[in-house]
Amino acid sequence: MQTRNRATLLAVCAMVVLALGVTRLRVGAQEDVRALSGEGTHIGDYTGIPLNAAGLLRSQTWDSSVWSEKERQAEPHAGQYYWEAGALTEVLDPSTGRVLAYTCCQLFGGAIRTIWMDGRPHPSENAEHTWAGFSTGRWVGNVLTVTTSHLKSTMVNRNGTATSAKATITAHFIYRENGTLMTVLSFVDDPAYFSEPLVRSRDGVVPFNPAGRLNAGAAGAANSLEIIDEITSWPKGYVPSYALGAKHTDWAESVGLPYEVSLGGAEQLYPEYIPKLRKLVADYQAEQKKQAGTKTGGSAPK
Amino acid sequence: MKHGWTRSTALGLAVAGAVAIISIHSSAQAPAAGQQGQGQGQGQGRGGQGQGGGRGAAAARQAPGLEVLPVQGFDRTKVYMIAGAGANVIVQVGDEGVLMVDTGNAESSDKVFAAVRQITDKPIRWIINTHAHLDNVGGNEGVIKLAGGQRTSQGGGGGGVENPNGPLVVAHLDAVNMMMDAKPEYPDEAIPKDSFFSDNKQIYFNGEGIEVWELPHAHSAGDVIVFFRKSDVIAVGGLVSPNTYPVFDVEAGGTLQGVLDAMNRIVPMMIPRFNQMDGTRVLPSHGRISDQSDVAEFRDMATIVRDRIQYMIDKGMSLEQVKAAKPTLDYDPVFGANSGAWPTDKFIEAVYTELKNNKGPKPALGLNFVDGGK
Repeated sequence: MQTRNRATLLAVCAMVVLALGVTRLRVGAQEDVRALSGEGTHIGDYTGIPLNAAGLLRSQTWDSSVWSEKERQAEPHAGQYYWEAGALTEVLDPSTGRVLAYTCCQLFGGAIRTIWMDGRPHPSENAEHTWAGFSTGRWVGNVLTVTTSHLKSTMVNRNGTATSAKATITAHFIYRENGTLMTVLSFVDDPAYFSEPLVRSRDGVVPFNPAGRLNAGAAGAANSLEIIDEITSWPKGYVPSYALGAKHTDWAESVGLPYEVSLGGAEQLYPEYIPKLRKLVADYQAEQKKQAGTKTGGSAPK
Repeated sequence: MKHGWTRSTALGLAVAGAVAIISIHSSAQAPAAGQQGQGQGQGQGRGGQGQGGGRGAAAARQAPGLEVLPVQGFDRTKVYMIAGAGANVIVQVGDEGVLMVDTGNAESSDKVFAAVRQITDKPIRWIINTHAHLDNVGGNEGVIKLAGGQRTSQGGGGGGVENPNGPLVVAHLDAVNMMMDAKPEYPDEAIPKDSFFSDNKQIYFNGEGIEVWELPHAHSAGDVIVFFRKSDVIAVGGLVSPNTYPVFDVEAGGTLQGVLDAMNRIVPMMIPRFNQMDGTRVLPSHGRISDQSDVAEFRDMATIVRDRIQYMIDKGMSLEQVKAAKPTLDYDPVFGANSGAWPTDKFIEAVYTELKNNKGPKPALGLNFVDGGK
């Protein structure tokens, strides 16, 4: 079932992005532009994310104050957040001249990603996990398909929307227009926190980002981000977290959505959800009007 | 003398394995740096000092079925993690020989020895036991025998016990006492002849300082961590478990608060190279090679779960009510288990009992409430 869903999604998404891309392409255009750039996603907005119950609770109890922990201040966005290709730099096997791997840049902190092309297997479960993960790739025509494992626990939106170290990514780098344009279509499969894969796409002019190490300091990555004391009042061992039962309602209220819609879930990925969404919103707005009328003392004309 | 235990296992395996084919997966993937495929050097020179050399060579042709993961090091000194022997076995290899942290379980001792011999012919000079659990020290007897026996500590290393060129076997006194009091009994040959009772021991070996620190009443009563200063690696025994909830053996003096105290000691010892990763590596008894962010993630999870259960206790909830409230729901897919030695239910019960019986100061809870949370 999941395979069929993925295949369908892949086909549909590919058609959409290809169709849109030809006429409306702009650098960095993506369906999640609000979430992944600019203001980011608001606390409590989990719409469109296929979170399961555990993933939703983990997201709701995440407190952004954890970024004041010394161990988290310089956490970069991980592979699950989005996949940046940038310029692919070939790494050649000196003995054969064949492409051994590609290296490319990931946003923030300048971590270099390596995509192994020599057919090597992924390492065992005892190997270390990294923000970029371990990636292998293969070409099918003009599409570079990359499989990534060994990722870290992180988030797929900057509001703490959770994804785990058990996640894997399948990303398709679709080169078009003689390699000048590219669509990246990625599937984040997280058996811990998602009930279905999270699918995202991005279009752009190649390269998306300049080669090099973004956000890396002039003296190199080693001292690009200094870890500092941010909060002095925390006792040793203090870890901030929202309590069980926390309800982040502000965002939903601010955009006129019922709270339950803000919680996301796999059903929101499908067109069948649209009628349900319309009804939920209509009911919610009617209730809001009713409450507003009650609050104003029943001033409606008789 | 205590001989009532599974000494026959190691002896049997030491001579019986000529059938199978070597399958040590000397991973081409050194983690992190190793994930870049830079296999680190194997064979730290030659000139083994006859520590069962013939038997070791024979053992190396057996079928260990273990995984040897290069971690990191400097110059000709390297640290490896051997996985698949019950608990992970950590091996520091250099010009002076081999230092092992734990020996795995009894069933795997010959395989562990073979794995070490595949890395180097150098003699095993030190074995440090992180604690007394059988998956960590069960291999002591077999490995020590294959190495020709322990040497004694006092008086310059040649005290006349079995093998002056053998390994000095070290553990914290609390762990040694647990081994001596264990039922069934540990064989005498498996019990460390060297112990310390203060909070630390220092060793200089293979060109680096090695700090052994006791972190009491955490995973068990006598836990130690082993910090390889120059290699920038910390072997943490059972204190960190990236795939399970914190394991603390209540019967052996372990506590969740001890684990958290240990985490808050270990995490600041770790220095990431950049992006909160790389740099210092932590090697747990169970689970993957980890860096600072992994240990911080583990610590934060354990702290948050403690805070939730403490809050429920403060509200007067019973154990059954706490379980029904599912205080670990969000972490269960990553750290939980429905069966085995440490199922989630047992973990919650142990945390509840510890917090309920705590007569000391309560921790400052980090819980934040919004809307319907309180």
